[in-house]
Amino acid sequence: MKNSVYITALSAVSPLGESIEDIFNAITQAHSATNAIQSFDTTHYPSKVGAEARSGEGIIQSHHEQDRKELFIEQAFKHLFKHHASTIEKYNPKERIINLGSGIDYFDLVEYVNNTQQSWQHYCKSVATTTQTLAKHYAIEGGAHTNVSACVASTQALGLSYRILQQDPNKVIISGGFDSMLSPLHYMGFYKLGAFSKSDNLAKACKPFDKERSGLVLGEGAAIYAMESEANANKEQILAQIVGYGSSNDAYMVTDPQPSGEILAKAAIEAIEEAGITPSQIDCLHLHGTGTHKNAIAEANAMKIVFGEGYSKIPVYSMKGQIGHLIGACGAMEMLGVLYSLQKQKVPITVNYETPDPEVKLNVIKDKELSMPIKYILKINSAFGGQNSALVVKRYE
Amino acid sequence: MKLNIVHFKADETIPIKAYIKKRKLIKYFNKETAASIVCVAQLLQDTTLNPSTPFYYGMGLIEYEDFGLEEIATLSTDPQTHQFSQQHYIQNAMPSVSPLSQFKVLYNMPLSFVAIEHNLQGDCVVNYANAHSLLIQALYAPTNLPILIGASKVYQDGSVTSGFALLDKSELPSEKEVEGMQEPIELFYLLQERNDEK
Repeated sequence: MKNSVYITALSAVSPLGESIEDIFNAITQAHSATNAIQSFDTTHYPSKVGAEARSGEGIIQSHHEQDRKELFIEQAFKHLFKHHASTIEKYNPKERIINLGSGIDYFDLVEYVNNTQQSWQHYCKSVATTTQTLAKHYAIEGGAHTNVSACVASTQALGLSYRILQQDPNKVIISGGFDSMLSPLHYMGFYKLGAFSKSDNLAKACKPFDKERSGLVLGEGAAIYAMESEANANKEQILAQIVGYGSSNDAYMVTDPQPSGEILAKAAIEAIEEAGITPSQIDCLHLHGTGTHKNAIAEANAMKIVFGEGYSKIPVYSMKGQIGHLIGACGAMEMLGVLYSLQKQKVPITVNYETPDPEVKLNVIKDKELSMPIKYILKINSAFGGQNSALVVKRYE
Repeated sequence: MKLNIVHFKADETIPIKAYIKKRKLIKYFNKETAASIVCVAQLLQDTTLNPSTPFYYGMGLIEYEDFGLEEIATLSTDPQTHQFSQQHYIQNAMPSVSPLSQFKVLYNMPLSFVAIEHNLQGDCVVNYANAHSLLIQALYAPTNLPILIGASKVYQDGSVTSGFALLDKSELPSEKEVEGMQEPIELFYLLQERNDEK
């Protein structure tokens, strides 16, 4: 018999703000957080758009020596322990685990060029070290894991946390993700891949599933969750229950998703089967929805495999039109959208979705949030390289 | 358990062409990916895996780069001030960077290319710089199939070691046995010691 697994606390630093109230309000208002980058000089850059993390009314600024994603995850931990210390501290340090997804190591190119005295390694900040430093600081001694599976990293981190707690009820796991590619080297490295939006309208640059979609916009931030089993979770604090998880690899091409969506569908079907439900019980879909041409087609085809011809009726949401693509943290940040839907019983508007694409027959919600009873949500993320992940999240009643 | 560990010196050519079916992929590989492909090919030379075989990979802490950082830095330097220049970075350095370089930077590339080469479509994860993380992933794998685990480490001098094992869960070491280990590749030295003892 496996244990039930719950999300009992959360904390985030996002392009929509730092408080959950601010983030939820922004989702309701459906305004775009993508704009001209302010945190570093993009004067000569061929692309200037990003969704930067905000605090209060302004973009979080940082010096080039600072790894922004480290800043965000430190802030998220600070908030979590400030408001939910008792949730974590009721566990022995050996029973506490950190399990995060993230992106590639930060490299301070500016300082490396300006100060030629040190080797390049001196200017490199490892995401694994960040995770381990957090573990040490917060007396978390059960393990400090950093998943670096690109865009599924944080979804997989949540998935592994779910698997651990299913078998070991006496642990608490702080799980989620942190990432920022909004720095000179990483931003341009990603630009070189040719996946960036080509739109000049910065607020509308990312258009998931839209006929006029032209690519992705990078976002940044950190989102973490306290996860506990039914044995120890305070019922008053339960925000949602994770009931299924699946992961697969297209093994097709590292540059493109498998167009048929067959292997992505495999991950979704595994998650739904593990939840002990049928596809018809899924109320809405929170998809990866990057705003690239190929992603939309692959996801639509995958949903057709999972749900049959009725797939085009299931309400769909993608958060990336609003906050961009957080790469190693996207799944964790988008879990906030899942919690929003479960709490408000609404499918939000996919920001910037205006013109349906005849090739992508998904029921993407636009113009007005859709109010409906929502018990089960299928959350999907896919990665450059072919990895896929799916979670089924249930409303706690 | 099947186990293979390979090591290539810094100036040694990794014999990738002898071990890959899809040779057009070679242009995407960094040293870590090339060593991983060779190591897995040797491990699985008489074996075809079930496509659902779970596959977990541990990446070594980055100490070596071969995507052209030095050239980027040089071309980003203002010759007058000897300081970083955004203009030089964008106008001089970036055009020198091949789009292929990003494939040498992204951390899930060794896993993805091994998956493509061996048609592995199951549960698959890349963890970073922690042997315990790799072990945990395998210990909690939801399967009764054998599991493929792997790790590579490119050292600062450019030498590279890669280890892969195809094994049952019962053959994995305990969490206690990996206490104090840092790099995922160390897990494979432990497995080798066990094999040698037998």
